[in-house]
Amino acid sequence: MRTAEFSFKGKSWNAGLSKLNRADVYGWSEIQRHDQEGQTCEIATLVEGRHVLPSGSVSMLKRDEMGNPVKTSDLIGVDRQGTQVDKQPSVYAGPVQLSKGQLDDYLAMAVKAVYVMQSDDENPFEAQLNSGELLQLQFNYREDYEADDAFMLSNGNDVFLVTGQVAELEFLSQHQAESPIESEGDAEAEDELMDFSMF
Amino acid sequence: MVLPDGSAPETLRVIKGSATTAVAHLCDALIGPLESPDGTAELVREIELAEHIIKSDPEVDLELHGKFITDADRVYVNPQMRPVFRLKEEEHIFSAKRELVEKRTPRVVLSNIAESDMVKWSGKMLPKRAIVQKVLLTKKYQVKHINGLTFSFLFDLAKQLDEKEALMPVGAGEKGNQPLVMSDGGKPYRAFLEGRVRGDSYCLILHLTDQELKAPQKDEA
Repeated sequence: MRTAEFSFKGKSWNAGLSKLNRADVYGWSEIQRHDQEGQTCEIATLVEGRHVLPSGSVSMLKRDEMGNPVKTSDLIGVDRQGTQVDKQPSVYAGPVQLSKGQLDDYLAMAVKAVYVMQSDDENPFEAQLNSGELLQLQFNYREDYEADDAFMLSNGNDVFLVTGQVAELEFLSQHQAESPIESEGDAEAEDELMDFSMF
Repeated sequence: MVLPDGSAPETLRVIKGSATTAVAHLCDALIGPLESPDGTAELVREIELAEHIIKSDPEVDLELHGKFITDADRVYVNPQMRPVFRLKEEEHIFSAKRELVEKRTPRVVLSNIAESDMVKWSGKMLPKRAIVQKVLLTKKYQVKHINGLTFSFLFDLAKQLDEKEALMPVGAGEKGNQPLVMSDGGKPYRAFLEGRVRGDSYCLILHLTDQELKAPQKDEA
């Protein structure tokens, strides 16, 4: 298995990443659809009401202002201010520096993917991870312009890498009240005031 | 991602195939129907089709291919690529070992967080650190007040949770021990409330989870 090197306080650990899917832990369910003859049906795209496009028949194309097709590899990354940014290396590209992670940051993270870390080497961070500490890093599975946030944590048996984006939380004061959602009764009363026959 | 001149590219959906240029349809149209459904016969048909593709490009529809899609519908089709409008649905349940466990009529799960199905909290304060080592809190919603009364109520709740560095399990149903379903047809989730306070403002987050923090069972060799 391909491994990445993680370093923290002079110690390093080589571990592989195996994506954790819920289905691999609990199983899954799927809805199968059949026609009247019992044949399995698949979802497809219908264009102009007459062309049936089975799965895999549509691709994405990027083009410039002149209508010429553009390769993704010709594009460059920019930040919100429009300044060009460099690509962030893949987690496999070299030693990844870990830092101590904050629990509140982890809890504010919109989770994208979870990996189970696998290694035959002894984990030098095992004791602190088992005690509930979190280790943080910048994560890119592949080289990309924007890196995700990631936290390494343990459940006592295995070590996991949870990746995503730590959100900026909105703290609410009294005057920042949300409008309540109307109940059905209110909506019906509103409908009576609107005369659709006028259109 | 922008072009080197700083302009943003336009992204479009483009047609690269259709039901009439799909391999199965081309095999039927150019070679004839599959007589014996074993893999060898199918492979021979596809090799024969490859010859047709090299000679006469039957897989390219010059009228359709390369056309941009601006408006499209989703439709179910049968193996003959004909739209089907009366469908029978069956739910298949698979185990973690990818074995089919059960076939059943799909169950409709209705939302249980509406006004009539009040979400109840357990009152239990569980240490944040212990919870994050047990479950994956994958989805988050922010709970917001709608007036001064609910502000005081939610602010106090957030303050208590913040001071105790705790998460509080919340649930639906009579006893408040049922998972939350946020919308009709949605998935059920276990839920925890987290509170943070900064001065006279608060942030109350409803964390949802449908997964423990655990690795799949290893296959016994």
